Amino acid sequence: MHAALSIALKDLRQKVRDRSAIIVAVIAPLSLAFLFSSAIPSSQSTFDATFVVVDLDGGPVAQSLVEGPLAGLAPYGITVERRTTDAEARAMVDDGSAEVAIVIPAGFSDAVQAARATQLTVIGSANATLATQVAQSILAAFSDTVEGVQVAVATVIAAGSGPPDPATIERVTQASLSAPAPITTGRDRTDDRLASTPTYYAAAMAVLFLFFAAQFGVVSIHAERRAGTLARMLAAPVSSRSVLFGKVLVSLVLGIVSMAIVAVGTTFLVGADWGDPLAVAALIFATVLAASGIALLIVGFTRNEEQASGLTAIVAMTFAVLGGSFFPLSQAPEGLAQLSLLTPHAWFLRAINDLASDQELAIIAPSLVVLTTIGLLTGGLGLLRSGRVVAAR
Amino acid sequence: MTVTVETPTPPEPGALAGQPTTGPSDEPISGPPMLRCAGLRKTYGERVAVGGVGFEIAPKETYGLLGPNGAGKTTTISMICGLLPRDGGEVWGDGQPIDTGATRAKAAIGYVPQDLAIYPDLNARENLRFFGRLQHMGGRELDRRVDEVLDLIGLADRAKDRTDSFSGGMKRRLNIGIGLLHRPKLLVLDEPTVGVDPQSRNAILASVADLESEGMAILYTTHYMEEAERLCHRIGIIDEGLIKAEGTRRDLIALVGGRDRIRMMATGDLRAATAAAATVERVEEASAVDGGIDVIVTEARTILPRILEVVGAAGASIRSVEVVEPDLEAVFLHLTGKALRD
Repeated sequence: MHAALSIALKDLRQKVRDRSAIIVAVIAPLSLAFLFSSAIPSSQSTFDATFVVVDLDGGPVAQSLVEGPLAGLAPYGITVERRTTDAEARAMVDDGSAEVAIVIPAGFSDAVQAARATQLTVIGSANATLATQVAQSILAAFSDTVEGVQVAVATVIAAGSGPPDPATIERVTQASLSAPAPITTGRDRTDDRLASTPTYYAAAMAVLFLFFAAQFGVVSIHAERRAGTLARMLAAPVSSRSVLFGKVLVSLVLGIVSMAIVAVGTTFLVGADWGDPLAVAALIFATVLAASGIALLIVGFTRNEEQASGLTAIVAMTFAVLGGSFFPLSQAPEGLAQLSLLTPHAWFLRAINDLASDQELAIIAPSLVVLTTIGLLTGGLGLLRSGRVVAAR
Repeated sequence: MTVTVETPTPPEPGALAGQPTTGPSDEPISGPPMLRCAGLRKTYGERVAVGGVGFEIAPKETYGLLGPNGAGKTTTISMICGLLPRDGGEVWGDGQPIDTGATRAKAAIGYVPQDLAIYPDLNARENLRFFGRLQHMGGRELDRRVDEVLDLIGLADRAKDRTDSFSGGMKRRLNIGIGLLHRPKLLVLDEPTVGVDPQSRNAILASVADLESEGMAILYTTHYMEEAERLCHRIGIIDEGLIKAEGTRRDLIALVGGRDRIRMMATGDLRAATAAAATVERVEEASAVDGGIDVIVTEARTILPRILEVVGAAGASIRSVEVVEPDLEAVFLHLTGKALRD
């Protein structure tokens, strides 16, 4: 143990002096977490737009549109304002105070009731394509409803013995317009188990760069073998097991320090909320164990530093893509989501999302068990394989 | 068990520090061996790297393994230091068996590899302290010993400099210093002067010679005949994984007859001069050659004045004299049929 500690302390001193380790372990994940958090809108923020409506008609169908679909947009972040002239509305879109203007032309209601062609005008800001598409979708849905009404009225006319009186037409029209939609789309909110964007990407970058940080310890086995210092260590009263433990210790320390700094740093830098500190600490340890185990396994299956570093990069990036470091797995196809369960990244990020749910901490137990198991299995096999690397001096 | 090893007395401390010497004297050293290896064998597939090497080294003795590159020197000392699993044979260091798993027994050995094995991003003191800790040294004892070694290898004033700023010779000296930090009973030096400039080489040889004052036995591998002659009490000539011959320099030279040749370029009555030279004691053969006389003798330097005297008296006028003594190069050629540096 004395020798392992001496080796670990020596390696850590070298890593501190080698600034690339600090860049990979601390600066890169912090910087990318900041960039991702700034560039990607928060998953908990809502769509925010202003629609300005000009009703030049004032008839019953126009009223149905304004008081119906357009009135119910507030919960979705859309504010609807009324103006009386087309010019006013255009001016608001031009100066950016509104994203979309909807103009209902004079004679709109009469045209609809007489089943004549008419047109609603949508004036969208060039900078608000999404809001314009939303407005067009709302009006298209209203148009479909109006077509349904026209069919209903035509049906009444066809069923009667003669032309219906105006009161009947009005009653049928209102009844059709006010009837609930026969098919609605439900929305199941997943926000309750989804960390905020800053938290998610802070964790995603932390686990991505953890795999590069953890390799610094064990990959140096190859470097020491090439430099002859491994043989020199083993010519002293030092067992190959002590050398391996020393190197693994360095990987663990670098990994834990890297993730801890990123966790604390992103909390202050981008407002990430990682959750219960003890649970996060346990999660970090289990994830670092998995990353170190995989790094040791890679060392065991490679012959030199270049091979080990290259393979580590491939594994780290593949796991990062599959495991959700670049986009939340909630946006991924089902197949990819299933595949992601093979990666430590997915289990770590799943636990980070779980911690955001304010549920019992036991909710992260599956992630802890899986991550620890990955670490022990790969680490155990890695020790056997890397032991051969040390012996093959 | 007591084994008597006939070895010469170590040379005077500092005797090898640059000035020419004739090498260690031939007085025997007796005592239990600090290193004993027998039947060491290592193969790589069909290729036999070491095919049954064995020798012993007494305390305070410097033993040289002399052989060309690829002779099996490094493989042999790798097995001795417990760095390489052997296919056969045994190694005992300071009375303890040594193999790859013999962690404690390795403490008796200080290993100086052929290639520099130091950390370029640590300074000299940090390098020494790290390897000292691996030898279970610590605290003031380690600090004191690090200072001593820095003085010994002449790097005290560069102790805080990173070693990647050192010259090749300084790195070599540090490489050696690490090996003797824990005062090993046996220091194993694997071709410590390969690739260094003549000045640094001389300094390294001087340092190695001085190590005898520390009382340690030394196993020194080299393919430089001059180094073996200067430093080693006994020499094992190794080639193709086998010790071809072993003994003091005199023992080895005796294998090729131990005779010197004196070639004199002269004018005058060469026939009479040759006949006169043949009468001198210890002259084994004298013959007239083109423009001179060749004389085969034992210990040419001792009888050269007498030969010059009788040749001159016989009517020859001597213009130049060349004395050719047999060396380890000749021994190696005699034993293997090839030159040492082939």
